[in-house]
Amino acid sequence: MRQKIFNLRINVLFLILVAIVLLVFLHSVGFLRPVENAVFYVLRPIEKITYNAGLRFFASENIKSAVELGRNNQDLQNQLSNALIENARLHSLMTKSEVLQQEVEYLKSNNYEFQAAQIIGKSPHPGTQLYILDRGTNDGIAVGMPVVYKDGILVGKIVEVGDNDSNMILITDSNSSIGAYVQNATNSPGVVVGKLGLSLEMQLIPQSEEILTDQIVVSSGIEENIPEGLVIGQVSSISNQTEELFQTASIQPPVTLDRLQIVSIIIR
Amino acid sequence: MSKNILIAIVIFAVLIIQISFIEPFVVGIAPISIVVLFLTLLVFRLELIPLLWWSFLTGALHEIYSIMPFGTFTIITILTTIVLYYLLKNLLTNKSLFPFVLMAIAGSIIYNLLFLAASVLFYYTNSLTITTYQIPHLWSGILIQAGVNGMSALILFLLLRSLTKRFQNQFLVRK
Repeated sequence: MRQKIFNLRINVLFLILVAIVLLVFLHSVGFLRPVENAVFYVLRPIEKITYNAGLRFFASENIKSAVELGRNNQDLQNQLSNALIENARLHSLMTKSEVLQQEVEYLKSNNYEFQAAQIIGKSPHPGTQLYILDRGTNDGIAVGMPVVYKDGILVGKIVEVGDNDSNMILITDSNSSIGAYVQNATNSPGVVVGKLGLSLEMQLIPQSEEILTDQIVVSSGIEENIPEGLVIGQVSSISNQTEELFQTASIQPPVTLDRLQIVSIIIR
Repeated sequence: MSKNILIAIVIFAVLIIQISFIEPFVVGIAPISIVVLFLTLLVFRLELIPLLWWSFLTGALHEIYSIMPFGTFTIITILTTIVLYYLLKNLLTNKSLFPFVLMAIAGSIIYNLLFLAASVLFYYTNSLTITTYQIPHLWSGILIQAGVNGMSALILFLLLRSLTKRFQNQFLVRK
């Protein structure tokens, strides 16, 4: 009897092992893709509802008066982010009129094509800030495309694409690094990296550069798909120890990055 | 038949809640893992063969949303289930409240440690372009999740016991 049970267990484990190998094989040859797409297609509307419910649940406050405060705070944040974008544009107008002229020409000749997308979930990896978007290759999305919020706040980029879905990595993720510059007199260059999904840090700023708090940091456009001038955030503090080769600055993003709902992907 | 349909629906619900409701609003380890709670429940209620197939389906569905090499989540889920099954059959032989709570806590720790081991393995074998093992507040996060899972298991057990008669104390006898 004991031998029989042992054999039964061994058989089941062997069958499960075969099933896993088969699953991996069928996935690698693309045989499972219709099934995966079908599952994703069926679950997508429910996930949208669940995500929106989560957004309301986790973003809401417990006290009634705090709800009002939260709403006011959101309005102020919206105004601040609009002001930052406007400020970035005005700054360009004042200091870089020639570049702006080129930008206008560039924008006229190469109108950005956007694809609106909704966040429907987050990949089940605790160490990453990977959000699932409801747009994929069928909508023209490709790896490396920047994801923006509102009119030009860079929030992430696409790292993986399926037929009807894609994964966006937030700029606060440790795996994210973006070429950037501070909008000051010398356009101080650096690289904005994510810190464990919690904050942003601008590194590799030469010691000779003079940067101040509240200055705006925008993308430098050195990456292939990320255009110049997308707002990343505002300098909140600076660390410039003289023995170091470079300065480091903490960057405050204009929006709460883990409370986003609708974003836009710059297709070209 | 209806039991199988119910389990399948619960698996989809668990997946949706974990992916779209809990995970998006957390940096690091989520305070609760309802996947582990669900596995604990399965281990408590099912025999080995259906248990392994259902945990296989649970893991396989997670793969759709994962960036890890295909099959990783399935293996992690099945291994967690096997360890919980072993614990129930050999150490926590009483199908009552405390084994259920302890299994939920142990399951949470095992699941996270297996995930961490897989992440480190993939990092050192360059199997992933994105590192997944740098988790903020890792150990405190695992402990918090284990604690919350334990509390949730306690509530779930009492709730199920008041709703059904299947969660009355049972003592396993080795045949």
